Amino acid sequence: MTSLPALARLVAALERLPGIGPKSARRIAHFLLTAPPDASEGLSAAIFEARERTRSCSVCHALTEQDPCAFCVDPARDGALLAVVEEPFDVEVLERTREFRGRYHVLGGALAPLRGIGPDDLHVASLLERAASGVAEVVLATNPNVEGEATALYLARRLKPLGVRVTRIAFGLPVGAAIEFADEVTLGRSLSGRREV
Amino acid sequence: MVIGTLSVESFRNLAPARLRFHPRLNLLVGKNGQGKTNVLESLALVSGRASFRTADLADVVREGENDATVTVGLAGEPAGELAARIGKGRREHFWNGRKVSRVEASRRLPLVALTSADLGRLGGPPADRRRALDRVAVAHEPSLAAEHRRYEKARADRVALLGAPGRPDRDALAAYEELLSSAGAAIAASRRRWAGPLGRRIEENARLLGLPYREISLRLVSELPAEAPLPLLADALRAGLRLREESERRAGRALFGPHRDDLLLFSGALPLAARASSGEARALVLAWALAERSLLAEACGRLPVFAFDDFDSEWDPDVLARFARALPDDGQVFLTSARERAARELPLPVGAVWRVEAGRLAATGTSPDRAAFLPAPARWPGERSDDVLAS
Ligand SMILES: [Zn+2]
Repeated sequence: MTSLPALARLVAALERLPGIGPKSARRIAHFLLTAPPDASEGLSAAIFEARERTRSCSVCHALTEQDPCAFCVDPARDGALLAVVEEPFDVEVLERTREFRGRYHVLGGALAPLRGIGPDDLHVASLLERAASGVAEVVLATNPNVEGEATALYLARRLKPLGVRVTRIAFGLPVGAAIEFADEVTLGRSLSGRREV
Repeated sequence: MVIGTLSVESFRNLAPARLRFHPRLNLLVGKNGQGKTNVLESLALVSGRASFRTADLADVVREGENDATVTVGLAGEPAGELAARIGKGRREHFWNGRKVSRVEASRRLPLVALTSADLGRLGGPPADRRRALDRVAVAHEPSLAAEHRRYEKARADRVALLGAPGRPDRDALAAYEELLSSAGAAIAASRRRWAGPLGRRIEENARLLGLPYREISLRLVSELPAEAPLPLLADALRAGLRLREESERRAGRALFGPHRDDLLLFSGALPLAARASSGEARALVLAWALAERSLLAEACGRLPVFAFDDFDSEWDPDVLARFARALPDDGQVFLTSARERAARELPLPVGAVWRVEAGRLAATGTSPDRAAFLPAPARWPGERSDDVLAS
């Protein structure tokens, strides 16, 4: 491998991707180098283009190509109902349930004191601002692990004084699981069975 | 339920092979360092238990390999294959190829281990006694496993929050207080429920082993109220946490909560850790292990596998003879010994004798003076385990 430093760098880059172990990284790298050139060129162009065109919505921090995002401007969506999630990916997961008709707020993570992540490192201030103007209910849909639970408890304390109804999605998920691994039916039930915090 | 077969790969010094165990008794004989204890450790790990040899699971993985795997074929009701894949900082359990939780693994294959690490239990660190009680509680109330994980993580998070520069965010602290007090109260309440029954079982088994102590009880020593319903325990925990915020910030660790509980074994008003001779203390630990076995049996609806390492070294022969006679008529037992003669001297049940040498096990016959039993052929080495972990 030392005689192929460029390949080694490619393998190392792939290994950093979520869900890709050393073995898959080597397999993908070899595929890209031996497949017709348009496979690798198409992939690098797609990555480049997606990075160029996708940004964070200035209102809800979800990923979008236009700012504000489609969720934030869609008049059919209930602006008085807000779902708070940890990552932009979670928006996609909740959307798949077709159960939620409100708008979103992406925190950009969860409280994690061991890694030095506090409220100031998340989109908490913008959430409080939004909640204070015309929002009736905030659904806390952070992950059902300690970091997500702590974040939900923290946000409930900050949101309640604003006079909004604060609910938590009722997870039928195993403790410690992440929203992204929930199936649509379970998550749909969790949303409709949300309870007051 | 018994362990019918065992296959290990890349596990310490054990040769990769598939072994067929005797359904009743398996006596593993070999010199020190040959791999007897490694076999028991592999069984403990596949059953969801902690290793009794190392806190770092990567230690069990053979040098140069990523993972070790242990697969057992369970015979009886329900039959199936339980596997564990162990690597750096993680372990995964599989039942018939499907990923399952560690608690589920421990219920599929309940196992009680007694090794040199347990012998000092009566007077050793409180954590060992707490864990022994918590194993019983979790077996009966599996949802407690998640409360333990929640508690440990929230405790570490809260200490980090208190230690961060600047004044900690009041609302964030309150969130961790809430998590800690709900998980901690669940743990505290479970210990209050199970210390009594466990103590009574220890007493029954101590009598069986001929120990002179009566009125044995296991007493919980806790900073939380001795008897209180869950909500009151949670309130007490929350109040205690708030009171100690400043001192915990300075100390950089959590100074209050069920992680500081202790458990003491008493005979009447006598603390046994101080009173019992070293031989008696060992016998009491054996009684404790047998007590755990009977309580796990009730929780799981099947008799746990009993794994007793180095069972005849420095043990009182009279206690061992009583132990051998006390073994119930069913249930699988694994014993290890450095002495070939070990089995001859005790009224042990029928079983297979294995010689362990350089990580390989060879069936050498049956325990003598008993009905003939021929162990199923054990094929060492070469036979590869079925790849149930492929995914
Ligand atoms: Zn938006």
